[in-house]
Amino acid sequence: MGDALPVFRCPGVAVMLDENWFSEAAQGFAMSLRLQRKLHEERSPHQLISVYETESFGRLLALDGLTMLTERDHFIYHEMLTHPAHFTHREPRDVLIVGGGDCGTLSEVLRHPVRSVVQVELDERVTRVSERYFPGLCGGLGDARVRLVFQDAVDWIARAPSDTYDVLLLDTTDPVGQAARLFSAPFYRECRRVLRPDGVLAAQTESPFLDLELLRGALTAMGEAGFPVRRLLHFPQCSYPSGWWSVTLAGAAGLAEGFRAEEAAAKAFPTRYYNARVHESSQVLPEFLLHQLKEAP
Amino acid sequence: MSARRLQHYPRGSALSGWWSVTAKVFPTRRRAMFGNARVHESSQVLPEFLLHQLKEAP
Repeated sequence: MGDALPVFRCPGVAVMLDENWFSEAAQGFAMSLRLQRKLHEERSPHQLISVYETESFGRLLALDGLTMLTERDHFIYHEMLTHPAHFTHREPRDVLIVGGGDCGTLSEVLRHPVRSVVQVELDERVTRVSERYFPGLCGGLGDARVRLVFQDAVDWIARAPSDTYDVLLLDTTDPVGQAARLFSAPFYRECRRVLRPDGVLAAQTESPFLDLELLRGALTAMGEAGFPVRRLLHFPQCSYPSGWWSVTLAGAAGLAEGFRAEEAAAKAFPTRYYNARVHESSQVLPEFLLHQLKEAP
Repeated sequence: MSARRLQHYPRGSALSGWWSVTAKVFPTRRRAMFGNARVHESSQVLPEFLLHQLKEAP
């Protein structure tokens, strides 16, 4: 038999997956969406950008074959990356977004009475494709408070002035290739430097089920970079691997005091996922995470 | 597959038998890996879209 893998014939829908399905596979696990048609595909200087119309999740944006967003469930991720950080800071005025080319995070940030938002995205083509195929996310591009920078965030942040931002949102792709630097202690140290002393960092930190080692590494790196308090928030994200995702808030000791719960409960804008009780409950960790993360400093 | 769960099904019923077999194949761990008191509470907190969608349910 040698080393050949056995072939299994699975009953049910598994055998019906073909080229009409988009599958993101990693770690022997795949999430799939049935496609209706391909709307767009191009190879930018940085990556393969694809947009599909799916049967049940609306339009899908993928970068190098990885799901970035679907129309049906993106609101969960974008709201959870944005609002907990903003309601944790006492008075967020100046915001920096790293990544976020699809502009979904930007549109959530602009619901807050902020003074300025700088978005540093590596690939301008992602934003231009999003403008065309996800116009609902890109309404904020004409806002006078917004400045778009298309540059490598590691280079940009190294030259950015210190003590400038109240909230920094790391809306990054998965830590593959170049993006792996965005999950490292040296990069988090630069984030700490450009934040004001009471600034809040919110970073997407992958699946708390499939990427536990990465999550532990990110929490440790943030600690080493000068963020003494870290808070893990977890939430469902149906179209991402495992259907379960996380955002980590990091900041100074004041972060441990909690968030502006009354203001979050009386927020002046509508949301589809986030509310004050969700903010609180998303920080409650199940047993295996409590034990696995106990050792992260 | 906890003993508590087994008790929900009358002894000798089909479900009782199924749980008994399953419990032997996958022995119960002593410590819960997901649930705890705070998880119990937080799992009942609903996001906005569910609050609105379920408002009309009886």
